[in-house]
Amino acid sequence: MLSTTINISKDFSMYPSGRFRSDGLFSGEAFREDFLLPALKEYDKVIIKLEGCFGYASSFLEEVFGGLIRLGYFTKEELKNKLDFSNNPPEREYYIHKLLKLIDEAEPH
Amino acid sequence: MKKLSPEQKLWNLRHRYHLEKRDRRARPGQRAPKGFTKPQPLNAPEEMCLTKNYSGVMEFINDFREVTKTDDDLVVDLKPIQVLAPDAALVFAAELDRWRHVKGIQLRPWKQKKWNQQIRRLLSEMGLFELLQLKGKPRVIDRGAIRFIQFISGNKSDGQLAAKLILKIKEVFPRSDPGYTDQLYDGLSEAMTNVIQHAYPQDGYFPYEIINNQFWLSGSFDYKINRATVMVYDQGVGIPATLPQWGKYAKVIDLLNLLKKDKRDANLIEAALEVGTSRMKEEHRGTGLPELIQFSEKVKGELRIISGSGEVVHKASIKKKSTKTHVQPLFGTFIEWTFDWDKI
Repeated sequence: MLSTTINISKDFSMYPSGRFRSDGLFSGEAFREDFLLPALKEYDKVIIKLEGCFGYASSFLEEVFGGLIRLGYFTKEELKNKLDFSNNPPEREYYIHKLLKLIDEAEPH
Repeated sequence: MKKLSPEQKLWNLRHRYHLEKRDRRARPGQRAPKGFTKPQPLNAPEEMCLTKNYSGVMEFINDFREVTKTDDDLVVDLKPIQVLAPDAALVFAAELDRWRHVKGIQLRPWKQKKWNQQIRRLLSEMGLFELLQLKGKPRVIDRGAIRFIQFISGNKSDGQLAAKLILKIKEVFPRSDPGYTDQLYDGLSEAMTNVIQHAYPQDGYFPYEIINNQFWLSGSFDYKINRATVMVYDQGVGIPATLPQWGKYAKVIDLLNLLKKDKRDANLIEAALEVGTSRMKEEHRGTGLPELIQFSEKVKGELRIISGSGEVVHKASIKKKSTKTHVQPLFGTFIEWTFDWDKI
């Protein structure tokens, strides 16, 4: 099984913020389209490391993870099977729980 | 007789213009030239505080805004200020910043040495001189119990601005638990994103010339009672004006009808906070308001929102909201988190 790791703070930005590209440079849309989606298409497993960033607003997380469902790239089950958050410190559990909930709540258009 | 060259004629013209311009300015002890009227200074109120003197502060700010609509000269006298709260300071600094951008002129402090010394220190500490690129910044000698964080302004949802504010807080309170500052970052990030996405719609009504998408961040600490505040202010159309575009607006109206409350701004904001916290599957885009509450609930603090004529204060420790309606609306939206640092 091929896997890759994305460390958001090192590969993208320590300061993710905003939903769309028009909101700012390090938006959810930019991360999803430029980093996460290509990795998900190429690899069986994508390990996401959340430490190092100052935080993740709901609009950012929803656009990244909810957006993958809403835009029809993956089903909820497919996406959850491909994502791996196990290598994250305990203080990031809050965000992992939040983004998994956002995946569950997202509905394809 | 030698004739003047075109360059010499031009030099003479310019020199004469500058001499006439100099003569038009009134000099101390001299009668002002004919036709020149010294502008009457606009006096700031003694108590610049949105909590204790909202109407006084807004009257002053609105008078300021009216003058900036014209090409008249403007002199603002800050000497009367005896009390300066961070909320009024942020709104006023934003107005000065807007004036500077819109008019494209360099502002100068007027009779700075006659200002109350504590007020002068606070204005200097909060970065008013840097924000407005003013000259004559005073040396800060005595730091009182209240410290202001320098203003930060921006027009993008730039996480680095939120991080900058949080790092300044951490400098003063190194005991910060990252778990809480993470959520402060989230709240600030959401507030900035809300501004970019909702506050300045293309078809919005703005009574004054605005700087598109602009917001201002600031904070303060009161060392005597270990209390911190973090604030965000924008000069957009306000939350009540943007709510009708929200997918959950019908639920907001339903809630108001259920509670037999009218559609005044304070009630709309309160209802939007209530409705926004109950997530629905079909609405992936909210107003971002619930995120604002999350931090205050985590630290058992307070969230205050002033937008339009409405003010809502959410006290997380007692899970209670209170509302107020002001006669004079605020131009934009003001958000403030207040929390006791030793509870973190």
